[in-house]
Amino acid sequence: MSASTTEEKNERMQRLAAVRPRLVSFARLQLRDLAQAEDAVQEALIAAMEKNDSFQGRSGYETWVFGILKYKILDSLRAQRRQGSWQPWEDEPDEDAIDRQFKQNGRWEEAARPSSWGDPEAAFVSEHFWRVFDMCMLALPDNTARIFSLRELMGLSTEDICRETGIKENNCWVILHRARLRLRACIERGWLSESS
Amino acid sequence: MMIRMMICKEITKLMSRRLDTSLTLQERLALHMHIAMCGACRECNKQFELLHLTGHEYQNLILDTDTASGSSDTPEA
Repeated sequence: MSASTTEEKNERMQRLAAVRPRLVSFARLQLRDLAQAEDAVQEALIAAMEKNDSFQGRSGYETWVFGILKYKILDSLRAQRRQGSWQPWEDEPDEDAIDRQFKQNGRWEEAARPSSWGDPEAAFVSEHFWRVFDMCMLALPDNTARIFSLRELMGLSTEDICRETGIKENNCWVILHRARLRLRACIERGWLSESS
Repeated sequence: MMIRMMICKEITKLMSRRLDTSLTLQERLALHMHIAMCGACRECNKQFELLHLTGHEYQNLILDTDTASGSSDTPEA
């Protein structure tokens, strides 16, 4: 077992410093609290440095650190839930924002009709898209955002989400549907307004 | 077999649930039929699919940070 050289360690430290802001934004979308997000990232980075020697190879270093962060985020979410710092599920804002997208007869309201976002690849490489995405995520009601993040950012199955959050799978699908509709409306406003 | 025509709002529920679990054959048929005829729902479906990829893309974004910004000023030996 060859321990990493000092030079390698320094290089990795620099790489960690470079990804840190993005890691914090990622954690914040889920934890809904900047200080807690910074703590989670801090813990992940410390764990990465401590376990530095157990990481082999260099290309997947950030991926490895990101994996550690995901665990830390899950830990923090569990702690939040234990401490009762989540709003009761029933308090989540009503369906107004969603109902506004549809007419009485269930068809799209003219103003809310989805239009094309263009090439997804172009969206994903656009800084502007990600700013809008972050902004729209932060605008979601907290519990809705947590469920969406667990599913779409962390990649948990709805079954696992039920275990983590104590809600029923059916409820989970309802929340995800609302989250997606709210996000699509918000992103469409922010994304198309500037890119067109 | 009669497939009831579903309205847009109901169809978006299927669009969403499809990304989390498998739909019944009938639900899939209803979804496809509706999407084939309704442009707005077609776009909505694409948007949901795009949102479904954000986790993966967000990760790429994070992992690209240091290579893209060239923050590491020590060139590879």
